[in-house]
Amino acid sequence: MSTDIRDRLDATVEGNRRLAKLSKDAGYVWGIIRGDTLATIGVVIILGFLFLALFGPMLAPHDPGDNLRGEDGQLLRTDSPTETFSEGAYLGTTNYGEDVLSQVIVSVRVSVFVGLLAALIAVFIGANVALISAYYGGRVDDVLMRIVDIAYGLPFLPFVIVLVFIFGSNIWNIVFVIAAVLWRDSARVVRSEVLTQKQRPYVKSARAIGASDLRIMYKHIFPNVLPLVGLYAAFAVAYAIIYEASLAFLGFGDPELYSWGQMLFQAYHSGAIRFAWWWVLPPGICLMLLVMAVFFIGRSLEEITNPELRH
Amino acid sequence: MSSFGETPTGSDSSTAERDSETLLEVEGLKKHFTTGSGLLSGLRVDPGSFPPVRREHERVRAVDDVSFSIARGETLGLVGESGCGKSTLGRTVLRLLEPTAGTIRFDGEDLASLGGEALRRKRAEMGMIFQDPHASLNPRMTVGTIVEEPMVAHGMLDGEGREARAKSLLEDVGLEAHHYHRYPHEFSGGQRQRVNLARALSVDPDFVVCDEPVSALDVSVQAQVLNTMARLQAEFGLTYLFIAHDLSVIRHIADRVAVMYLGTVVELAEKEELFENPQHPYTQALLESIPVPDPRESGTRGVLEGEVPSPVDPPSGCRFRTRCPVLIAPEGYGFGDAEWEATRGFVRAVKRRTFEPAPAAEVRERFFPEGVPDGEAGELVETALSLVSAAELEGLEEDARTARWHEASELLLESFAEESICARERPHYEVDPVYGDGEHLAACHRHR
Repeated sequence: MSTDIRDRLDATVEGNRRLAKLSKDAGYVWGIIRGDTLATIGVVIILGFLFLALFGPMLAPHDPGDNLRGEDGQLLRTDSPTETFSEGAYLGTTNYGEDVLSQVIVSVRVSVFVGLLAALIAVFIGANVALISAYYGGRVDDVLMRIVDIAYGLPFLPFVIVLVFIFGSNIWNIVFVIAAVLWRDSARVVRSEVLTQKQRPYVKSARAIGASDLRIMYKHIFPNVLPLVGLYAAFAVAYAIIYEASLAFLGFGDPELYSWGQMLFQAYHSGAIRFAWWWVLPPGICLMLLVMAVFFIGRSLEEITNPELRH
Repeated sequence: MSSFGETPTGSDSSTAERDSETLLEVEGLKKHFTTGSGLLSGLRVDPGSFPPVRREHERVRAVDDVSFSIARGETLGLVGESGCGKSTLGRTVLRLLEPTAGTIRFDGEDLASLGGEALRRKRAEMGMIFQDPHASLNPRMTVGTIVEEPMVAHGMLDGEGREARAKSLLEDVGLEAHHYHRYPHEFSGGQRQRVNLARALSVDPDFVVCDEPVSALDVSVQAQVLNTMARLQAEFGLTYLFIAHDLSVIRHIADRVAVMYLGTVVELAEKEELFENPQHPYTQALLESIPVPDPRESGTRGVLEGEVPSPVDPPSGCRFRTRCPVLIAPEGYGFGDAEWEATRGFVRAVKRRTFEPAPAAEVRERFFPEGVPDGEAGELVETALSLVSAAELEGLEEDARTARWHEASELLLESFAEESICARERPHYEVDPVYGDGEHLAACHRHR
């Protein structure tokens, strides 16, 4: 009975300690972000975009594909907001009479989705390659790092155009292609960090007690390079968003989805990009804001991995 | 090399019997490091030879031909100044480093030939405690997880059993069971070293290598940790290889002591014998360097001249000969004791350029107040004297002066130091012990 209570007490204590450690870590990160005005703004912007990504279709005033017509039954073709405001298209219309505001809102989803997933895959591959390469060293390191060199040699656009051409342009292929380009950065940088961690006495003592290689790599070293991995994940998100938009602007986006790059592509193709500011600016500004927000946060997270920035 | 029977930890007859059994036997162990490992590293361009490109690596002889044995239950202390290879030796013995040559017979099995999974499993019988108690604990693990790590790695007990054992181990090493959930940064250096101790003991090993376990600790804490280690040794029946540079620590805990210099063991004896009857000049210098807490004592501390030579290109024969205050006179010149002492002083002074250029007569007066030796030796000394005399060096460029000094030094070293038996043969002698009856090895040619 008493041991039962003690065990439960211990378990609670342990749970609390884990929680306390977690909340302390989170508090530390939040403290750094709070101390940086730009990063705080970044967090607010990102929370806003995440909200739009989740509830966008419900918030959009129109279906993004609807062809709006005026009272006279005429299609509202590439009309500025001043003309269409009364019709409920607050940011004007496209050349098919579609509501720009609704398209911008619905497009948030693609950018956030591609940004997060491509970055996650890229960092997952990069971190694993880095761990294996740096931990085993020697020939394994040589081979893997030469592959990274080759990945660095890949010119982004030709590579992507060929792949999208072969596999077809749907959102999954785009995510895959972007991840295939982005993994190289985290692979190289995390490798260097693993190399320094590997020399720390705690790794030697782990080897001395007979821990297996996998155990040392994932249980001992990985938690210690996690801050750096997090930093590169943040930057990868920003790059993935830019790459997705670039692809869509070049016409390699998923034709079934609305995205900011796609909107710009359409504006360009309809010949409206020079004058239809209401069609070009909203997706452009949104892209800029989202990428900048991610960069601002990444920049302040850099303080965690590089204490020299702390003064 | 054989081990011996009596150790202080063997209290009753049955353990005494077990103690006589050799647990670890190291023979001819070498660990060389090569500098550079890249594709093009070590390439030298030498236009004078064919092919004009050669590949060579410098080899750092960190541990060079070391042999010793440790009996079950005893503590072998390993001392030496930093850089002498004692830590490398400790790590190589545990196969954390790949030995270049030699055998490491542990409990009848040669560790040097083991590899992969077999070696990993063998680690359940060995432990290691590192010097830096802070860096050797993973900052992102709780103390409980750290102590349980070896048991998890070797599949010992189940989750509950491991936790119970970890908690009891924490109490054994002088911590408390409720520390189980804490993180390493919440502890002081001494406490962290106790955590290290608990981890090393968690799989109940036979043998623990302690690599300067207390040198990073406050002096007031050192003794406490050492006493805990000694108590645990008796409780768990442990055998220690205890590496330290602090002679008082070694004196406190070791049964036998090995003294290392530049990758070799120069003297190995029972503790009392080594401290009271040191036979190697290096050991004697080490012991003299211990500060004497007596204000009336002064000027008695022997200070070694010069620096430890590079392990890349160690001296031939006896490793200590370049700094040895009792270097044996080369045969064939007929040196008297006083003559040889004066000559040795002059040779070293020229080698290190420790005197300003002066007229030859002045230098001669300074180093050879009783006149230069007779015969061939005297002629060599005179040649060297004139090479570095003020008259010769006057008006020369710095490069040319250095060349003169070098020439003089080469001449003297080649004629005298290199001719000594100390330079020609590697010493290895057994000495009759004065204290106790254990084996006493001294690597000094004076015992030939």
